[in-house]
Order: sequence, then C-alpha cells, then structure tokens
Amino acid sequence: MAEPFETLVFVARLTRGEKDAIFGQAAAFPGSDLALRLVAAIDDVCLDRLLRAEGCLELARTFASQAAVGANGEELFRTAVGRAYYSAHHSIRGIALWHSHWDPDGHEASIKQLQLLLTDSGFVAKSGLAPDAWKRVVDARTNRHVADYSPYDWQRDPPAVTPVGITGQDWKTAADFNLALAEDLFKAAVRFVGS
Amino acid sequence: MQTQVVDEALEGIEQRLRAGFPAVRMEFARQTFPNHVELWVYVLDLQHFDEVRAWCEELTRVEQLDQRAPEIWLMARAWKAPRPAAELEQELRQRRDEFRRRHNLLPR
Repeated sequence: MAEPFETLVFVARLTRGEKDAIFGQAAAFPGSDLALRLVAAIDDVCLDRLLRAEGCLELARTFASQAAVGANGEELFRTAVGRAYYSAHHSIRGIALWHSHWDPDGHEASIKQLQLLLTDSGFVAKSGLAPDAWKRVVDARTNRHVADYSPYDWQRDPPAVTPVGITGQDWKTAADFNLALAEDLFKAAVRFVGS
Repeated sequence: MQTQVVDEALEGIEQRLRAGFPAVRMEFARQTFPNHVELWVYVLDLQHFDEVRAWCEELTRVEQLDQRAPEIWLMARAWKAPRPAAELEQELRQRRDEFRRRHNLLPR
C-alpha cells in the first residue's frame, strides 16, 4: 500500500533534527505502523528522486549527442551540462534519503552530505564511488553555473579574483565531464535503492 | 529590518487581505532572499483574481513596499485547485513500478 502524497511531502521536507526526533520515536517501536509507514514513504520519495535523475540524464545524453553533430553546439552542450548536473543532484539526494533518511535540501547541503557519506568506507565500497567523488560534484556545479549564467566559458563573479573556468575549457569536455559524473551517481543510487 | 519585523509586516498584509476579501479563498507563501522577501498570494477563486491583484498593486504603491529594506514583493497569482490526490498518487505509483521493473529493484 503506497503512502498518500501528503506523507511523502512531509517526509521530503523533514529537517535533519526533525528526522532524528521522529525516527528516534519510530526506532523505539520497530515493526510499528509508524516505523513501517516512514520507511515506505522514504522509499517512494527516493524512487521519485531517481525518476527525476534518470529523466535529466536521458535529456543530457540527447542534448550532448545533438551538440556533437549539429549547429548551435555550444547552447546544446550548455544545456547538457545543466541537465547532467541536476541528474547528479537528484541522485545524491536519493542516496542520502535512502541511506540517512534525510533529504539534504539545496546544492550546498547535498554536496556536504555526500562528502560526509564518503568518509564511510562501507558506503564507498557499496556505492562504487571514489572517496573524493564529491569534488567532481563541485566541478560539475561550477560548470552548471557558468553554462547557465555566464556569456563566456568562465565565471564572472567574484570579479576581484581569477575567474573560475569550465572543465577542460571547452563545452564538449565540460558536458562529457558532467555526464560521466551523472552516470556514476545514478548507478550508485540504483545500487543503493536496489539493495 | 529584523526578521521579526518583516514577519509582522507580512502577517499584517495577509490579515488585511483576508479582511478585505472575506469570501475569497486565498493561500499565502513566503520566500526570503538576501535583499527582498516575496509574499505570494494565491487566489483560488479565479473570478476575484483581478480585484485581488489590483489591491496588491495599490498597496505596494501606497505603502511603498518595494522601497523598504528589505523590499517586499507582493505577488498575486491565480491558482487552480490541485489535482485530485488519488489521481496523482496512482500516476506516481505507476511510474515507480515501471522504474523498479526497468532496473530490477526489489522493495526494501
């Protein structure tokens, strides 16, 4: 029996503190209706996240392959960079929710949570990710920022420091980089959710 | 402006809207940004949307909401009733089942 939508929204919006408090209560009654419903709701939200990750990944692949053969390649590569990054973002949030029962809301929070999870050797082994995979996410996020906000292939802000450039300083390399990361994170997420 | 002062200002606007349009179903949402806050006024009774929007524009002009620090952006938005929950839940269930099949996933 699937949980109603309201429960999913509730679970997806829990802060870390609220999650700890509620799961603390549920853990005191293993097998209880509360514990079972929370886990079922979390599983559903994870799958909904992974559906988004998969959808973004498919679109990123499409844009990148079109960019390689057609006109307007830079715009298509920029779009592929963005979609691939968001695929990675959703995969991270799906993994975190599955593993920690908490959805890190936002880009910084999700990268921090992945960084934390990757300090656990068991997590690294199971995910198939390198311990420093979170640094690739930082690069992919920067590529996404430049792709979406800058008219150039580097970041304008902050103006007082050396500009931050995209991976490889060309759009195909940046798109390939983001796509490879998105593929790795999606595979890791499916591995977790399927375990 | 302190957070509490902003919250009170937004609360006051919501109360005045409810008092000004007692028969109109409305919902409110807030978004906070570094230099401005947004108060979104969802008007569920679409036939009253234009008058609520005009009221919001007039209030913004008279009280100079967008001249404050932080600025208050009052956004009137037409809002239809959400889709029936059962229909949405059924659609989500089908998508999840299909995803599980595609990736050979077992329930936890």
